Amino acid sequence: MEFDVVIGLETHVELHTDTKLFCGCSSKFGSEPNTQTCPVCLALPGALPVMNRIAFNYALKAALALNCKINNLTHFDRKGYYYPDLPKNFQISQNYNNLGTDGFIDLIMEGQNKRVTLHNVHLEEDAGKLLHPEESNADYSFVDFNRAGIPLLEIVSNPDIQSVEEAEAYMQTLRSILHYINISDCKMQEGSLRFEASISLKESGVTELGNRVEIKNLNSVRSVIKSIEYEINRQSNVLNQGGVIHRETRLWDDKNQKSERMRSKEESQDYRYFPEPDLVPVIIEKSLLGDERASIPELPMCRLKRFMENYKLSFYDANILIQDIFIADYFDECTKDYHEPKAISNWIINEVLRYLNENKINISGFNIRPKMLTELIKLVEDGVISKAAAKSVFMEMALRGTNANVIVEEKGLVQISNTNELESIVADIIKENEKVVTDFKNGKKNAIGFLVGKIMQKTKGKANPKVVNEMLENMIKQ
Amino acid sequence: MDKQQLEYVANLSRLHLGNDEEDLFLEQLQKVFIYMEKINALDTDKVIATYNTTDANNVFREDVVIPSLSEEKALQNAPIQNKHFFKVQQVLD
Amino acid sequence: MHLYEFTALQIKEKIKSGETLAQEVIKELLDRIKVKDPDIGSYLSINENALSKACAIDDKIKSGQTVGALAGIPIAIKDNICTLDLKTTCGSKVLSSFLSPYNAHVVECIEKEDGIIIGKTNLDEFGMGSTTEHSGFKVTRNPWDLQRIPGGSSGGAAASVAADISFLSLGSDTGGSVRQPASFCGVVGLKPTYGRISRYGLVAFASSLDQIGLISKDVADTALLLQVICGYDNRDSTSLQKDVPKYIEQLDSIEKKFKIGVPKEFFANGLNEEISKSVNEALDVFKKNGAEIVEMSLPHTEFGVAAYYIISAAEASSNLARYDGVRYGYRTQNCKNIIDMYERSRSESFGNEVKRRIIMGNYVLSTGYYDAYYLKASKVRTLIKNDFDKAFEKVDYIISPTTPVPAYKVGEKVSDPLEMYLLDTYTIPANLAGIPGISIPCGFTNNGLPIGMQIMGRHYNEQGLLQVARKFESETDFHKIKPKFNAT
Repeated sequence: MEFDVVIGLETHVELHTDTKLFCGCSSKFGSEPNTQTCPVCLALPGALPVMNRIAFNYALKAALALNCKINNLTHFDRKGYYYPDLPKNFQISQNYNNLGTDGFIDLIMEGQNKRVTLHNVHLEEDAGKLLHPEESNADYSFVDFNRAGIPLLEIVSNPDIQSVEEAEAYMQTLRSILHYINISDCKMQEGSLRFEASISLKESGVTELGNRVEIKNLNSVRSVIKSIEYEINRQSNVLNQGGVIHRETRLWDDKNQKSERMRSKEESQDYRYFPEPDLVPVIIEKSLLGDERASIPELPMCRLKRFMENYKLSFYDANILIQDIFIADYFDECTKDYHEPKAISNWIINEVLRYLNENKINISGFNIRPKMLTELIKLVEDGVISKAAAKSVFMEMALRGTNANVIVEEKGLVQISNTNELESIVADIIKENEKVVTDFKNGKKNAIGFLVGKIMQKTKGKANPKVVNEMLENMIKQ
Repeated sequence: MDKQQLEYVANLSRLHLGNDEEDLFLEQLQKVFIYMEKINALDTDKVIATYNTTDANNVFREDVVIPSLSEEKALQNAPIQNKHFFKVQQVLD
Repeated sequence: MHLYEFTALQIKEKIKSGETLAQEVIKELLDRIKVKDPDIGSYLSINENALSKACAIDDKIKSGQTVGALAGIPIAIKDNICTLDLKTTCGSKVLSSFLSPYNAHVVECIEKEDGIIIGKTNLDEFGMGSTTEHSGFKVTRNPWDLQRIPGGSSGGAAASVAADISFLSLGSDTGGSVRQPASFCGVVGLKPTYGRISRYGLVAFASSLDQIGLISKDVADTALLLQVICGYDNRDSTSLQKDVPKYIEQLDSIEKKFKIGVPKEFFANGLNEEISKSVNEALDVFKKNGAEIVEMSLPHTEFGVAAYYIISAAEASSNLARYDGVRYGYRTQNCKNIIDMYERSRSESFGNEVKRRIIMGNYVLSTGYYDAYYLKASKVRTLIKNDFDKAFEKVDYIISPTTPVPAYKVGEKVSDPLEMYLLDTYTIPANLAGIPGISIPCGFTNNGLPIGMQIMGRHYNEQGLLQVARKFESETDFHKIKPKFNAT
């Protein structure tokens, strides 16, 4: 039997505020356990929450960037469940009046227009962390509440995702949007970006959806993909053998690349949501809405289209350039000084990104500023220096932050493109290598390479190979 | 409220009720809930619910770090701890 | 006259003027607590540092330094308000050894003004109850009749003031927990407007209804303490950003003419006749002094108790979820797994009244019942609030009995929670509407039990309540009459 795949993704994003959502504790990652806690985030008796303004504004900005309808009045609700990492045994979240509803994301995929609609976007607090001791026979767990209360944005998609590829594109597009609006570090390995998938299959052509299975414990984009593939396989097998899919939650085991049943939906929790009486509602005034909207930069999809249309870049190149807003900005900045987008794009993709990767630095800390890069590219395109020389100049510039022409001069890298200067040398080489010249004349085209090499040797690599080539051909013909 | 509902809610409440307690509570709570039915006499279709009587809204704090409790203070009331962590029965997730 | 017989304001003047030393006051009070409190049971803990604090204040005065508005006044704190130096138990075995790492906002305010925390007072566990019999530690008794309850949940607070073993007390009032015990014990009890006093450090029972309240020997003392503890606090999102009037200075500046509404629903069936008579006589006192008395109706009053118990239980069930034995509080031994740990820790340490409310609350919030109970009750709350809004367009104050019956016998209503709940009928509406209410002594029953009259006012109008109450005090002597217990 053939099945259609129906996937929904739930995303949790930690907002990179300085403090937690409801108290002034630092939200810095990686501190000693239980050193970033206070009466509020430990849920000590008598403590009360007060909302972090920046966290709220970030959430609003995200809801806008994700094309949501913004409720002009939003409030927070308590979601009740018992878990040792949840200090109050309820989470302050939103249920009845979410910040944003009915949004969408247009996925960045080559040759396809795919829109995934969003059920809602809301703000809530993170839980602490449970740690399990290394000894295998330990019968206890440790709790660290440093993470408890860090602001989390939850983005709930509708089940519009129909393939693994779309799921991957969804995650990447969402991640770059969040990156562009600068509200989160989006580091999956540190848990600041987390996904949960729900998957169901339906027989092709049938409208009725099969039972939904939720997958948790997905720590990387790769594990999301692998778990979805695994789940599609598992469900198809069960259905093909005449079995039934139960509504359940499964836990992904990354080590063994499989998932296991955690709890069935029948045991699902009764969250007893009700409005949080310790917080007051938020009325979203037009001015705030305007401010937040204005703070949203051109988003990845728009940039991609612009790069492709205005600069005639391929989807592949444009997509690489827009991944990181600062790279995209860098590219845009370069194109202001120099109107060869393809050359700039090649330089950024091949040289700049490689250098940043190898040296693990951000573009903001990169010594070669856009104007410097375009000057270097110009030197190459104008034939002032060779491509090979340019690469070494690039490395010098990156190390020292010095302008290209300074380095070119220092090292005497200016190419000899002047035919007058080269004429006697070319003539000498032709004279000295009669046999090779004859070979060339007899049709052995690559023999010319040998002659170019000789000239380069004599000029210590400074001769412009293009010019030398042309001169050789002309002079041999004469 | 019947016995099954009482047991369901006791479980939600993370309370373990003994048999005697269950019987006593059921009797008492049934009486209370019969009394609560009173409010159903009122037509509230067009009434907006009141969750809080303060007319305040948009109350925020600025995103400024305030010193946290020391590790020692944070853990001072913990029934079981190891100087750095709270300790609980093993949780398998 | 003994020092402990003076009011807080009087004792402060004595201390400030150097006529009396703060340490003398503390010593005398501590001695008296030792002798008298075993019969009353109002304190759960006593501040061992009170005397040294008093000495420090005496030194300040001696050296001519300025001292705060509460200089040297011993103040008792209900044990659901967090204090750094003393355990905060909430009258619950769950927190029998809990030490808060921070002071509640009100405690900070008191200490800043040189008030001295003398001890922590008994209450119904987490404030749930109207008798103080539901304390996890001991029963508190009414100084007017030791066989009777002092009311609750701020029973320890009210009984200690009535017995002259504290000068001033802080309580908390969710459905009448300050006004009702004040009425039963013949003292003054004020529940300010919701949000007037920061709840930061008040252990939550029902967050949208809880308000810190004050219990004192007379109205001036309430004004004195209110001045210090009310005002905006940025740690409580529901704290009011309103100016605070000069309560004491304005105490006698009552408007010449004001209208008092008398809601017929508060004088209906079930009201004790002697109480009815006393309150009506009190109304005559106002009438004689130029107030206009208007009969009126608050039509949704009869739905208050039902709405209140649904809403407060719902909020309580959530607020008390945190007592799980992980970060603090009681934890059971030898449990099988984490759920067993939760269930046994909670079941072994919560009392029955708390368990009942947690179950009630989770029930009214659970899937399928939310709309019928919690949402419905929250709408009824709107109707009750609207009743008051409309009433206050026509009258300035509303006067009623504080309670339908006087203090009852210990044990009398323990087995029938509903019967106990119904006795909160008169105090609950003010909490649902968020308005201020004060209970002041206005008479005695034939067998000598105090009767309280409740005055309710518009939002934020504590000032008016204090002025009206003060006017009544100036015309009567009920507040000066002390229980026989005090003399023996």
